[in-house]
Amino acid sequence: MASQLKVDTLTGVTTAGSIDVTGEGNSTTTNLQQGLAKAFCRAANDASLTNTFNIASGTDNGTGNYTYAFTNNMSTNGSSGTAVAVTNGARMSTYSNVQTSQYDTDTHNDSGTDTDAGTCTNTFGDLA
Amino acid sequence: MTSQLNVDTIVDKAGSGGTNVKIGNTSTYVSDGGSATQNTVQGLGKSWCNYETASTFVNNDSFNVSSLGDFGAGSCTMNFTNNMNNDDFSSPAISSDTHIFQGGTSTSNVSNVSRNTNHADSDAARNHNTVHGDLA
Repeated sequence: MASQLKVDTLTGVTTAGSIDVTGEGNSTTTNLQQGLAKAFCRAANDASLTNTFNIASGTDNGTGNYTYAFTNNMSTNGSSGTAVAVTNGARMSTYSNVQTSQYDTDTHNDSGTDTDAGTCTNTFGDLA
Repeated sequence: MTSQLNVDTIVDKAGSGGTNVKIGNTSTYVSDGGSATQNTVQGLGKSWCNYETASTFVNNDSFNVSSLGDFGAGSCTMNFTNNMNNDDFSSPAISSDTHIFQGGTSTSNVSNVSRNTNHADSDAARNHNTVHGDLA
């Protein structure tokens, strides 16, 4: 018989921010908090936010260079992120200058010249 | 009234695994550092895909991808099993070719195009895509 548990907040007993879940193969457990994306961001070519999670603001620093600030900060500067340019043409995007409170993206064209473009990014790592 | 469950491990009722566990879309979790809470479902990847467009056009492994569409050199459309709520989801990608860009999104799919060192549309041995946002 199926069961249903209704709860608003999941908290670890041993460590509040650490809950294990059983893996798909049933042979291992993996950490729930570590596996969740801590932020994602889809933004336009002027850093205006289109669809986000845990992103407080976007800043247009100049052609092709943008800064996105977290709502809830990360615990270290070592968070991992990926980025892609959203455009109907050749653009490349980097995820760089990672800090606990923000990160940058830089987009450029085939010639390596900074160029405005929309971007999609995500962030994995430990929240503070 | 809010509720809180303190638990170290979540498994299904049978105790054999987690594949039958359902989490409501308003549930939150305590952060790794313990100082914040965030929505659990928002943090979940809604789709991911490892696909090849070079020697063969194949889905190597994926989650929430029902089929792939081949629309020319370097081009791949990933069709979702469960659709997204809107077409503004965030979908970063990376390619074993020189670079990749997002060609378009809809609630039912996302399209990427990989390019070679000459910046021409080109098939690649490995491409990786993730999707974050709201499911329908």
